[in-house]
Amino acid sequence: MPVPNLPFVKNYGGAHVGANHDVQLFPAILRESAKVKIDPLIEEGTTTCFFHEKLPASAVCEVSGRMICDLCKTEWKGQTVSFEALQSLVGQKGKGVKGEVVTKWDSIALALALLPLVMWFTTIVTAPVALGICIWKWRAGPTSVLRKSRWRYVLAGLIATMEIAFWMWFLIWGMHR
Amino acid sequence: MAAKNMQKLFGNSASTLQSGYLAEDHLLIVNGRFQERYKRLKYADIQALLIRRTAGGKVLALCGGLGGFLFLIIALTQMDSSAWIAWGVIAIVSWAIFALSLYGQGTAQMGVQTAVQTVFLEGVTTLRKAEKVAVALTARVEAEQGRLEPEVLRAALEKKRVERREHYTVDSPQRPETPPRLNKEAVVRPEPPVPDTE
Repeated sequence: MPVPNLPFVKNYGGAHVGANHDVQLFPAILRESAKVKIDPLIEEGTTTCFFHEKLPASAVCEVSGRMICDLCKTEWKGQTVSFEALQSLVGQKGKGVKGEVVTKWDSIALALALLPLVMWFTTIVTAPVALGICIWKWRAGPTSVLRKSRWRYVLAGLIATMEIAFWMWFLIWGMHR
Repeated sequence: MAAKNMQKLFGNSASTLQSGYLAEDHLLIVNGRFQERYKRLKYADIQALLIRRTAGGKVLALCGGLGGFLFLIIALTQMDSSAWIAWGVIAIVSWAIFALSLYGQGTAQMGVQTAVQTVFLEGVTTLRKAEKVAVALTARVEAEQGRLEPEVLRAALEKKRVERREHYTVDSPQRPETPPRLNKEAVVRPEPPVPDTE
């Protein structure tokens, strides 16, 4: 839908996209790609690629506005784009490229220590696995950028240790009967 | 990025495992429970916020309200047996759904647009939450980019229109005005500049 005439509009765009939207605009919407303006700079040979500092820039990405070299330059639907912008464009509808992905081993260890208690006999397998994860991944520290401490590892390790101790006692008791 | 520098914007909802955080210079969107996927949108790159009201909230409120009445009537007719307890509980649950729908002011879908993509905030499901998120995010983006004044916007749009008009001379073939395309993905885009054929 076209850009509205005001920075903030309510119930806009129904005629264009079939549903009304509240639209809040910011100055970035008016930012134009500097394709024409950087031609003199490129001719001078003084500008370098955004991704390869040692290579001279030969074009501008029409999506992100970054200056790119011949290695980064590619075509997408008639536009000159960088590979990074292409990955984002392709990722919209296709599988695209995964963003930053982090496995939360502390949550997995805690889940393996707690959830199998519902069917307690499965803890004979899950408890050692949970304890192993705690030991293996402890040095890596908190697994999420949002977490400050490793308390999940500590808790999972304690619970898994108690479960293993229970099983050891159970087996010894069973052997002596 | 230190967790303490981030302000939680929205959390996991009943239907999604997505949460959002405001960092110093970007919006961090986190997806997943045991495997987190991060998406960072710099405040300087955010072009627009889009909020669309959906009909799901109205349907939910209607079903909750009507269902509550219906189950209440059934419970009252079952007073001579113990089944009224079960019907009463179901009626209370229906009323709770109705109350939550009213509290949330209906359901909504929210998107954050940049030059490269439009990211839908799946963790924002109600209009109330969407407006709260919009206020917090707008403050951060405007602190980074400045406020877009109506006069500046109108001047920029008018300049683009004039540039397009000036391109067509008397001798050049007239291109008919194409009507705006209906686009299911609500993306607000500036009209592309006409290529210079000279």
